[in-house]
Amino acid sequence: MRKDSILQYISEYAKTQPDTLAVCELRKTVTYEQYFTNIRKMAAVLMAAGIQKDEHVILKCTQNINYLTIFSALQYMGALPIPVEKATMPERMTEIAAQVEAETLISDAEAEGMRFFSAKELEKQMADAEPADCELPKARSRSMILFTTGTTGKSKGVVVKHINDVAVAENVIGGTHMRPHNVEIIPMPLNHAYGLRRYQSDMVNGGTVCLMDGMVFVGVLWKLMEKYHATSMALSPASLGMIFKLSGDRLAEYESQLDYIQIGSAPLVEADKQHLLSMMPNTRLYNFYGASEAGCSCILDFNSADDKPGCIGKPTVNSVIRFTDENGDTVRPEDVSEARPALLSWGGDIVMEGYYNDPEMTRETLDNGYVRTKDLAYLDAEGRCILVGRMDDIINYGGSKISPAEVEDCARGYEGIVDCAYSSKPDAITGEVPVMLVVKAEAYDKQAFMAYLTEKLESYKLPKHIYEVADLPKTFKGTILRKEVKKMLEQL
Amino acid sequence: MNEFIEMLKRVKPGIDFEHETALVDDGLLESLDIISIISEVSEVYGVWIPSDEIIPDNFNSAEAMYELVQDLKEE
Repeated sequence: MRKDSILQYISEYAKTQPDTLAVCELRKTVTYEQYFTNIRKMAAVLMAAGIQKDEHVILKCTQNINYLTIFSALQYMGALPIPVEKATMPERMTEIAAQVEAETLISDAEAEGMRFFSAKELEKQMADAEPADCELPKARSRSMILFTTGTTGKSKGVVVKHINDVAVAENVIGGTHMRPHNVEIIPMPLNHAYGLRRYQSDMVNGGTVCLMDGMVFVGVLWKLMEKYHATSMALSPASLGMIFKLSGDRLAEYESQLDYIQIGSAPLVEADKQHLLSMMPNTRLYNFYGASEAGCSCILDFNSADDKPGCIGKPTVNSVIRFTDENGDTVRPEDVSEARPALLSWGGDIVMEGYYNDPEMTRETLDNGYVRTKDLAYLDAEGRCILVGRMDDIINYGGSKISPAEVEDCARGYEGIVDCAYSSKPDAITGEVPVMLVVKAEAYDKQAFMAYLTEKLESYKLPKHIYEVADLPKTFKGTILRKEVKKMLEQL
Repeated sequence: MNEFIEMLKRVKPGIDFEHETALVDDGLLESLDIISIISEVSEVYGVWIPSDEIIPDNFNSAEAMYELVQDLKEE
């Protein structure tokens, strides 16, 4: 029977399989019993520190066991964690705090105007604490607020409920045919839906999660594979590309050990896909389709006959599919076909509560319990979902999503440029790299411009190349024509 | 060693490579910096760092990186 929350699964496994490893780092592990005890101890530390039930707490992702313990402890004591990326600058942290009405920050560095707790100090205090005894969260209560740039580019706080966590985890477990005692390596950031939900699916399944901080230290991957006998991995196209780049065909040595690999967060480059298929002929290789707002709604094993152009696989166990026209009116499934595709919406227990403090955006996205998308699709005779088109300007730089509009707005504050367009060029390792086209003003100085951007933006958002152009392609309204910008870049 | 540190400073200016001993642990070097260093080492020293050696401990200080490259050159 389905439980109310991820924490309820962890607490149950702490009793039924106390010695099974729950979460591992290269040099540190916790069993389910240790993990749940630590969560209770950490909750006691947080409550003693004055953090209140229902309080919103920003938690910087450090991609280790301590981060997950604090995250879970906040949920256990009834506070609401808001996980944020480790590269988040203090100014951005303050902005997010204002957006989600959080006054407390757990991180490695202070941010202006916020009550601060050091994650490392909390870990030290946890060692001697007495475990708290709280009620486990209910299914319909809030689990966390996830920050996403989504497909519109505007930063949004997705309010997630515990029932969503469990339903999405079941989608992952069913979709991957996850076996009992699955051991999964997760190098993906645990503040994003993809990494966090893979961890949660392993907790629901009673398996083991092995944490890595990105894929650049690929030597850690091989050590984890050997030490914990990993049977699966959750990768991004960028991390797969990095494995290929830094280790050649080494992955093929683990073909018989790996039950499956899931690739998420961005489309896989065709060459990498073919290379992976040739190396892992007997391993299940999955692509998930989903969003923070409604996770893992479709799954495709691209090492199977289901793989064909545009196919995102079959809807997962807790996903309800609906088609609409451009006005939002429901279209009957039998009226949707290859010749007459319609817009996809997703419903069911996977659907978020809404965007925090943004009723307008919530109304635009949620329609009667369904999450609207801008994807045109149809279902084929076998029930596979086929995407026909996608409206998406977001740049995915090695797994980090960047809104061009946000960077352009910032760059236009520099007086040495008349205008700019932020776009991307293909890259073998990261999939794409951000670049910028600028129309210079008289006062333009490239070094000063970069210094200006460096001061204002997170480092991953900085353009890797700046091209000076005479003009930018725009509509008569002044909107940048992004496809035309891409064409320009092909010539530069 | 001085030449090696100069190379590191070209890859990532503004870091005290002479004294920092937690370049990775303290987040001073990001993943794309590591890739740039691996490429630069390959180009300048003719040494491709094997994937088993690409672990944080080997990149936390200029000295650790330098020793790794020297060991690989001797192999």
